[in-house]
Amino acid sequence: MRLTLGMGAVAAVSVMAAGMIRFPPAKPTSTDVVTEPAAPQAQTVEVHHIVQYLHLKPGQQAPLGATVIDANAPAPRVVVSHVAAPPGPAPTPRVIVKTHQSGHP
Amino acid sequence: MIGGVGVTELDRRSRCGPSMGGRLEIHIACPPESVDRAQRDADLVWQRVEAWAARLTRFDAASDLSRLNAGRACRVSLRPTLAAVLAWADRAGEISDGIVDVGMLDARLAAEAGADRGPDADTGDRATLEQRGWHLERHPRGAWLQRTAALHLDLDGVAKGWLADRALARLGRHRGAIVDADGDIALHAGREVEWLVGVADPREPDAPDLATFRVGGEGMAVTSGIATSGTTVHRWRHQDGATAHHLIDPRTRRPALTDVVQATVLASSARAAEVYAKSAVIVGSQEGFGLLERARVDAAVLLLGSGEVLALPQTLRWLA
Repeated sequence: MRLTLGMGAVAAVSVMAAGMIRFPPAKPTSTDVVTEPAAPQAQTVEVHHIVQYLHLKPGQQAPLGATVIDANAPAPRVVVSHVAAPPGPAPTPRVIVKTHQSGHP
Repeated sequence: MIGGVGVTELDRRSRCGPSMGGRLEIHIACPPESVDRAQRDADLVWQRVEAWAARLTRFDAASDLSRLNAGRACRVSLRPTLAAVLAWADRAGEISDGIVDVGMLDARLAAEAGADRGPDADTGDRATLEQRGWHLERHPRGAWLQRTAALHLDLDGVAKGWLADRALARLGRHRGAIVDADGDIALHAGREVEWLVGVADPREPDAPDLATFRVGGEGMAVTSGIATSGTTVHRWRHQDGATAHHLIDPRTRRPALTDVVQATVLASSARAAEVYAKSAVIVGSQEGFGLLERARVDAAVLLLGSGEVLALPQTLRWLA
């Protein structure tokens, strides 16, 4: 059984090793898990791989606050990107087209 | 002014409106002295896309595709446009490991009607991947299609991606151009042009975009394609409460059971992006990310049913 810990150990690994990135849908400047401080330079991209699961031996109890997931479930992908805002006024994106599912009403 | 890095003041000419059951947009970046030529080209390409689409739609009984589907002959001569799109459909099947299959029209219509036309979903039917029921032989004026009599084709997004690329190729003399075939986008950015393309969030019409891609603006010419596929637009609820959508898994001939709500892919062309986006939705995020990595797409953003937005690592390079 694997045990997911909300405040597990933090280990920074490369993006390529992790395989994919999860980023917040609205503002790309916040995360909901532990992160390190943003580097000072503009457009800095930091990626943190949060190791937050371990295996329980038979008879062991899950610690308070832990989330127990099924042993056969895929390993959680918990890589979080943190994109620092560039200095100065925020640029105004000039999006003129959007990609979307076709045939929308 | 197009983008923010140009040394030349550029203007833009566009032609936008309803087409292909959705919306077609053509945008051309040009210097002020070329705006008339750009507008003429936008109008000409619009007419060409309309003409091509008229041959490929299944919603017009007079189209080449509808007449093909209505016929029973097992060997049929195809005109060049339909032959070219089916040649691409053939390739699309190869690069998607058989997941993108234009021979799923009957299964799609069955899903829409709430009828069960597929094999046991638990066991699947891998044989359908190898026995898709059609074969193409090109000839100088088109192609011969060899098929099973029961085969009916639905070109759908495969045709839209092809149309976008074909149309963009006619705009190559301009500094930059976009052909947006109802969400499947082919775009060219010359050295001084930068295009920003939003990825629509399907959950709320006015929600902020899931991401914004930046194409161009790095001092070198770029030609790319961006396409989105998903399960939320063509979706039906039947009387028994069951829901279905239009993306058919050829392994089961039923709507794909997937954790991916929407996938957007940036690739070398709109037609390739469309194939990989659709494949990622059909096979789900686990298998889909593997497929996208093997395909070496430039970027991919997946919205899952859980609300998570996942992306391939190389996507960061393309985000605005």
